[in-house]
Amino acid sequence: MSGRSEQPLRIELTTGDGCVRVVLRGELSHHSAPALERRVRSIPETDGPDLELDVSDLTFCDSAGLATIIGVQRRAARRGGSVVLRGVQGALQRVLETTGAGVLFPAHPGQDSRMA
Amino acid sequence: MGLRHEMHPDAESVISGGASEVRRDGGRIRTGRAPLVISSKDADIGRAGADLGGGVVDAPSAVPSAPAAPERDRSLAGRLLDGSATGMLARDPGGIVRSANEAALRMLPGVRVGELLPPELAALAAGPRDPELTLGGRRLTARRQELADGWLAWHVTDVTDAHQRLDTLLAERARSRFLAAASRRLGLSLHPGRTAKAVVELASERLADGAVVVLPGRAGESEWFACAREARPWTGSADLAAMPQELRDALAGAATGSRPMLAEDLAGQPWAARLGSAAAAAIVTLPGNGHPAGALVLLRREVDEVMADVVDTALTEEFSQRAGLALAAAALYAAQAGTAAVLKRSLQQPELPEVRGMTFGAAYRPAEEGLLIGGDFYDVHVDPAGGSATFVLGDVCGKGVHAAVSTGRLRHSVQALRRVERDPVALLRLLNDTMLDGSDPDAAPAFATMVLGSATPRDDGGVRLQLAGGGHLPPLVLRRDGVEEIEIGGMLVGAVPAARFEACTVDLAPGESCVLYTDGVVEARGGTDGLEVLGEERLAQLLVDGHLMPAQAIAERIEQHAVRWLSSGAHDDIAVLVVRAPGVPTAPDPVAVGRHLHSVRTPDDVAPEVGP
Repeated sequence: MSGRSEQPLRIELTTGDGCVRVVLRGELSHHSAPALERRVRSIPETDGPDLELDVSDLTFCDSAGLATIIGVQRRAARRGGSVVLRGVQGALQRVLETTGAGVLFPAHPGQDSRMA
Repeated sequence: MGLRHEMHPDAESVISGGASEVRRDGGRIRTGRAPLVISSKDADIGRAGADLGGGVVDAPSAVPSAPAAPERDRSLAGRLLDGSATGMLARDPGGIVRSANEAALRMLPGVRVGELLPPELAALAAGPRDPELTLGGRRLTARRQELADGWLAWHVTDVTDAHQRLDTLLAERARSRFLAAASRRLGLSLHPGRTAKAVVELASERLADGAVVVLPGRAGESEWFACAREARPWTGSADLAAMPQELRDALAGAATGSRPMLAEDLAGQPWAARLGSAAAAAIVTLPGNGHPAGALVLLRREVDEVMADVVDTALTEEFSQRAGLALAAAALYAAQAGTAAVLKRSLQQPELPEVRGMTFGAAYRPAEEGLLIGGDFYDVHVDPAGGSATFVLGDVCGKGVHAAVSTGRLRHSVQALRRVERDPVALLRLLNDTMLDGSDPDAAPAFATMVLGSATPRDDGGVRLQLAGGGHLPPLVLRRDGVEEIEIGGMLVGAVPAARFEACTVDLAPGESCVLYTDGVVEARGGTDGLEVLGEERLAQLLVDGHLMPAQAIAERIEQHAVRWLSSGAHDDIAVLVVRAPGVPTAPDPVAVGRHLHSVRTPDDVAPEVGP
């Protein structure tokens, strides 16, 4: 690759209060999306089905990134849980607006992440 | 045999050979081929040396019938010299051997103490100091050393075994080199024909004078490849039934390894005429993946002593393993490539159809160039009634083969469903349900964003578009006076049950175009820092004179610009579809001159309608 390569995606997982919190920093693209998928799949069942994705430091998100976030949402929904997006802004906000996929994610208390 | 030594002046037994008698004559020794024996009265070496000059030397009056075994030198020096593995030999200025230890006598037959050196050894007094010679089937080195008073000594070493070891080592190295070269060369191609040609070329270089590879037959026909040493390979096919039984056995896997066969049995084969007559032949099965990958025939023009020597068995075995694997891999690859090519053709982007009253243009560049199929797609279908067209451009979320398979399913669904549903919004809803029904809950979700539209020519030469949005990037309309972004709305397809889709109507005047594109275009990363995305603004700038361009030129300009923008080779799929109302645009509205219509909605042209 010439030029500058994209920023890596950093994934931080914390558990507690029956909800797994995932902080995403950097770029969620077709390069880094599989890593997020693997990390989320590795969360043990005992940690409960609910997920909170903190995307306030996400600097880029393409359609493959969105696909992964929706995949995460579907998996949680099948297990009776939900995925809350916290700090939606920038690229992810645009993608959610364009695709209308915001309806899949309930608004976090005190924060409007529902995109129509 | 005992040591005869005259180096020590005190050794009285030195010159005690009873049968020995040498006559000297003015320093010249007159002799025939008969061995000369030194007269050994003078034991003093100094004297002996001096005496040699003027001593009496004569031809022996009588040759002893059988030289008696000389007595052993019992002196310490003699014992020490006898114990050495190196042959040691000393000669006086007259050419008479004055000393030879046991090893020298063993290695140099014909040398006797007190006699002249045999001529082939006498010649070593001149020339290289460290020559090599072959005597009695042994290889020897004889290092010459000058001693005092014109004496010469040689240190003789038997290097036969060392040479043999070296020869074996060199031969083994040559084998390894050949096998390594063969592996490299055989690994170069995954094409069965080219691999078979490499096999016969390599085999005829090293293993035989000529080589033939016969590949397993299909429907009784077998392909063969032949090569003579230092010639180019050639190929043909032949009836398997007409081949010798040994060949058919090898191809059927009934025989393994290498076996000699009668050269005459191969005389009638199609390659025989050009390969020339053979005196000996061997056949080698080339082991493949479960069954033989082929049979290798090795031909020799001349017979070696025994038929078993037709081939270097170990080397041939090693080579045949490699050749068989390479042929099997090539055959497997060819089969898979054939399957992939058939699948790929069904997934590749289509030729655009001719539709009366409008033109289409498209560009496509998949992310995985090796595959030439990806998650982006477009299609244009002429409506069965004619006179209008359905078109779609979309992006299946995901990448690579999985995305390509989902894309294929989606495209076929559009193709089928458009026959029962003409309304773009209703069509999107049907697609949404189809994708949700078919999705495997454990597999990665398959959904897509897309714009699906219908195009109908208008009486004024323009084209009316019905555009339905499935969560895709807004299309651009290239007007006479600028670029307009059409926000349709709608949600991505295949992700949510009962998703909401929207549509709008856009009229294109003659010369105007509508551009659909995927996010690979606007998210192409490059610019000065290599990270900046191309973006909608730059794309719109690029197309301000788009109304002057044919549809295909617009599509290609966008694709090329996006690719140039990319700072690195890696990128997402890129797809562009352009529908254009043919004709020359009329002069722009004076009011609109210079107006850059980006993201401006014209209420007259665009009438958004929200899907139920």
